[in-house]
Amino acid sequence: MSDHDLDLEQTALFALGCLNQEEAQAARRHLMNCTLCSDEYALLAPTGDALALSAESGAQEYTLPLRRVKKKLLAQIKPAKTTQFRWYQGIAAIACCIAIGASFWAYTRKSDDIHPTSQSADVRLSPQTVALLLAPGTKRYPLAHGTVLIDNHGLYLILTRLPALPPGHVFQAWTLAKGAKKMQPDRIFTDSLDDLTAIQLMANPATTSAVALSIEPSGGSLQPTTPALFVRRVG
Amino acid sequence: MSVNEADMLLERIRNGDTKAFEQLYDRYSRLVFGIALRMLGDTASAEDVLQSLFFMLWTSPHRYRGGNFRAWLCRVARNRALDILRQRSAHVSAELTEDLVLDHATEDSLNHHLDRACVQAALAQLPAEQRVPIELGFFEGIPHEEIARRIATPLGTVKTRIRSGLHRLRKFLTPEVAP
Ligand SMILES: [Zn+2]
Repeated sequence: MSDHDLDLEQTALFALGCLNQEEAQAARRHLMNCTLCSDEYALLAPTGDALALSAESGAQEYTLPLRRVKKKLLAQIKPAKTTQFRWYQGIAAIACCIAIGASFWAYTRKSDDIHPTSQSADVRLSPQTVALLLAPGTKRYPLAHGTVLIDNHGLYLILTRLPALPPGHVFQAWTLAKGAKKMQPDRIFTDSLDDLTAIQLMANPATTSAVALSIEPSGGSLQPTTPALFVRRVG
Repeated sequence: MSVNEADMLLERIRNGDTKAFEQLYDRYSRLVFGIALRMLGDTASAEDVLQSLFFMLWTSPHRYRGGNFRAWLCRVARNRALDILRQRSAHVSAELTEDLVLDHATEDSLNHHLDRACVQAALAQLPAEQRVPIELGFFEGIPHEEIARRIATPLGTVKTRIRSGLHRLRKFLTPEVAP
């Protein structure tokens, strides 16, 4: 057996995903410099991927868990979209409040645009919407670096001076429903440093008793895995 | 569902279309749930993986950067299940890369026409001495040294069998391709 047979075997293990972290890194480096092994990887990685298809569950007994998870997901994602639609109908009201918003902006903001690289760009609030949120009747719950806002339509998180995120991590908001003991996962975003971040959360403002924020692995978590940056009682 | 259909649904999801999200879920939830259940062995953990993965698709659809969506989804599901296995045991191997844009291998057309039945049939044709280490490595995330220990076979032999098993599997899955 030649040295290269050993490399080719290591490449097959890499394609199957059964090398440890260090070996996987070494295999990745080798692939970048070896045509023979990268050709082998190109052949075998899709075969490894195909293995996953053999696990697809066709069994009738799993219909119930699949429905249960779908129901939970739809409950998580639907309210935010409904309320978001309402803001855009409120353009006239926004226009009246721009003056108030502008002064808020000058006070808190270091740059002019909300960070475009956010994972949750679709739920970012425009400066005009922040102005609307500062209208009389909006409840404010101050934080050390920001505020939680509640109006009739939604629950909003306005943050400044977030810490820098470690690579592969995101900020994740959490909400506690009144009477509940467990925080529910809410929006995920990646802004950091001195930019102002303003987000509408998914939770129903009428039934929320606390809001928290933590740093989680990319993609978010179902339960917080790190200590909260803050926990704020609201309502 | 074709690759283009999945891409179109993801584009609609980026625009906040919950109907598209439901369609994507209906199409792929059995696959994600099946992978997680096979790897973790209990429905509660498999439901957690399913929920967190689809929640991620809704909040961060841009994490899929192109290529074969189903292959990417399988890798993400496997990696999430590996995270849970890692909490249960120290013997878990490294994750598969999820960046298919950089991983030209997954541009391969092999997987587009495959389904559960034909992969299961191909696996059944492999001799147990090749199939068992491949399944232990893939579904249980066990590194090769641990596989060798479990099946009481020299490490070099295990590596050779995994490689030849993968080549043979590829041949079964794409009969027109030489091994
Ligand atoms: Zn090589």
